[in-house]
Amino acid sequence: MYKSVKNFIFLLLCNICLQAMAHHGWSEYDQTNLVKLSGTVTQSGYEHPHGFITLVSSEKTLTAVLAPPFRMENRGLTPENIAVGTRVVVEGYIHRSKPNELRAERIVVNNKVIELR
Amino acid sequence: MDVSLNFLNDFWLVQAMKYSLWLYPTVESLHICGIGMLFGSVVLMDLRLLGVCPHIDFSALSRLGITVSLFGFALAVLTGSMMFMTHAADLIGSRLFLIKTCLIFLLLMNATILHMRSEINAMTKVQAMASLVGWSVVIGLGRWLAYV
Repeated sequence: MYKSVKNFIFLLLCNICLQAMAHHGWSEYDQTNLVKLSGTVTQSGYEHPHGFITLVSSEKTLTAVLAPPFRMENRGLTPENIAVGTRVVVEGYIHRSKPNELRAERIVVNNKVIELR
Repeated sequence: MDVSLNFLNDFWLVQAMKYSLWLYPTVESLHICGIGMLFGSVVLMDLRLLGVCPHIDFSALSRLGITVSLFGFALAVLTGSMMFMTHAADLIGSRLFLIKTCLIFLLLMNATILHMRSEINAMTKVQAMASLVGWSVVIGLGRWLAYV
């Protein structure tokens, strides 16, 4: 019986390790290099699980992953703020394997800085 | 892959999952309820098979356990499918999602075979152990999916 309990505790620990590794999944985004981009919104979604905008700047077109709708609302980022045609600045980290995807740390709309993390 | 699944986007349920403020978090919570019922009862039955609390009557335990775990599994599959539809194009190409789904099928087979056995022996213990490890890994993989 004690052996089974021991085994079970071992399993739980394995699982916790796996979860801890999972949390590093954010490191899919290159956090050593903070990128700032300004451009015009050409597509946007105020949606679950994360909002997003497609941003066209002079350098490139990329998709910025924002935050869950609840958080965007709480921080004061409205759907109108990210409507198509709006000029915005995003600051964040580029996805390691998808160079056109950025996880936005913050967004600047109408000179208002909104933290997304 | 990406293009072929875009039609799902127009489905009313996907629209509701994306744009209703409360639906997505509610479905996520129900998914966890399902996992809790499934994993909780599976752990009890597996521990019993591994020799913990031999005085508990296994057939009585498993009657309740199987009912609760099946209900939990159904709830998890239903809510899981709703979340899958919401980002099907991303998930269908994800290796993690593929591994998770295959593992669930293997574990269902394992549980079915275990259920058909008439006595507790060395093999049932191996299967109970596999079930404990397997379902833990499924939970881990599911959580991991949110971060890649």
